[in-house]
Amino acid sequence: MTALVIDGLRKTFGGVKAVRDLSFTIEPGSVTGLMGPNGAGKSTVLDLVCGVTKPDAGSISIFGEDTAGLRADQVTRLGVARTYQVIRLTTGLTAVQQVITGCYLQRETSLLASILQMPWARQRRREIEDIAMYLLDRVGMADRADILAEAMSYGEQRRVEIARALGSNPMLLLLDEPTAGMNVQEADRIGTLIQALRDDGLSILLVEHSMRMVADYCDHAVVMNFGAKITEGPPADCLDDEKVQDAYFGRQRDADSQ
Amino acid sequence: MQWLSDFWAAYGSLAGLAMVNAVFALACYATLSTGVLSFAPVAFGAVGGILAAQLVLHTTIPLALIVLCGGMAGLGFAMLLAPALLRVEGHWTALATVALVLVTRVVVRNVPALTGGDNGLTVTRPLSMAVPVVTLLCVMLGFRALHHSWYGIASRVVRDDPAVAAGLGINIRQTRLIGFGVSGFAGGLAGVLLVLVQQFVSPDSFYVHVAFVMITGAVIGGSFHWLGPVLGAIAVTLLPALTETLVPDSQDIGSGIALLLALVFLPRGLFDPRVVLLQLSLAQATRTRDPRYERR
Repeated sequence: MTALVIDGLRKTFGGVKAVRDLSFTIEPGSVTGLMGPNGAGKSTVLDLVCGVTKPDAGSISIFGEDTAGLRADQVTRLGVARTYQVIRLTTGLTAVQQVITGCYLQRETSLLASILQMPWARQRRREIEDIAMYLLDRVGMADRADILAEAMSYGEQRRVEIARALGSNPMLLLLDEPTAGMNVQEADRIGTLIQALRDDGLSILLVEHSMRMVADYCDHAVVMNFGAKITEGPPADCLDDEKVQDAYFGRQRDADSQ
Repeated sequence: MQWLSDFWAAYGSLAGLAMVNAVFALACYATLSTGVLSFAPVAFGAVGGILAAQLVLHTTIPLALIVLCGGMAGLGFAMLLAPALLRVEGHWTALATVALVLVTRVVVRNVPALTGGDNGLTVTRPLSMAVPVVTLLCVMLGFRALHHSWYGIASRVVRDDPAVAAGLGINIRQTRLIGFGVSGFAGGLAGVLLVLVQQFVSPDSFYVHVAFVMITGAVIGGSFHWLGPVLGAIAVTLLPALTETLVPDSQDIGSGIALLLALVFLPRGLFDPRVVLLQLSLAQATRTRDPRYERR
């Protein structure tokens, strides 16, 4: 089943048409790069998919389920997880605690059992801690599990945020510029991780600003500008597309006429 | 042991009041920890307290059961009001609960059959200090258990960033409803204790001064861990008595200055586990940082 189907999506903020008639799909077990210059509407698409904002028109379905009328937490329960363009970790929690908050949907114990610390609740809590440690290990942060997130470097916080997103055991992972502000080595580590997650069967939507990340790590690319899709296809073809070049670098004839 | 009984005779009621206020502050913390500022525990306390007064006057139920009944009444009242209070957003919830406090006083004054009206009710039942002590300890244990439960984990994210919480699959409204339930139960218990300690209930028992003590307790003590409001409320209760002995007629000035000093120098309160954790983390972070991933 198709992981994500976006059909005729439209969203206006005041007079700004943030997304206009956008349609694309994500095949299961693939990495799709959603790219475009600043202000193209990429993050708005992510907010719409997650149910944070409601579309003015169009439909979104995740693994065959229409998300119309669902709250953000209900959309998450369909198997979606995300990271944010600006890191949004919880203050005062250590790395492992951050990931445990991400495991909320895997808690499997009733509130009462959890409060009364029943044996099975304690058992499940230990399992969740193991899952959290495993996920931290996957993103290369196991040795920093007990450090407060706000004491970490930027790249480390990004990786903790990815581990937290994996905590809900999602089928569709939305990453909003996970390598923004990282150096090449850090970015490549994230890229390798993304491909490893895909090989585990996850479908990934990678919102990216960087053409290099899309070219190196995505199976499919969708390019947006001014809220509309300008092209889609294999990443290499998209990057060579004249319309994409224009969107990123400006038109050749504009430069000539200067 | 003479000094102990002398001390108790002089300061027993103050110690009792400190414990009552600690439970009230915890009731305030219960919703605050899900990101909702609410003064509703004053009203929950009124329901619990007046029910307790009636039970003491008209029945011979053991005190422990009366305390529990007050808590349950507060919980019931909270669950009745919470859906309405949560319909309004953010600061408006706080204002709605302020209105609730004012409404409570009007109602208490105008139902003399239940509340004694303006004259109040005298509740004479000899009270062992064990009742407030044990109640406070049980409430603290309860908050400790909540802190480590799924609800506690979810509430920290909900308070910090509701949008992120929703993104993790946490139902924000449900989390806040639970917060109100806990607040109602603790508020009801606090109301019962207040009536039992003061042996009197009147429209003035549950009014804005309780809300003031609750919120200053949480601010001075720290509202990021359940121990904060307990310490804060005890400090706020004892401080006026202390300043009174040093400078006569200065009760409220003392707590006002304490509140200002806390806001300036301890914005996260007296008790904040994050301070220590941050120092440890920074030390460990610089020690173990992997140079390969450093930004150049």
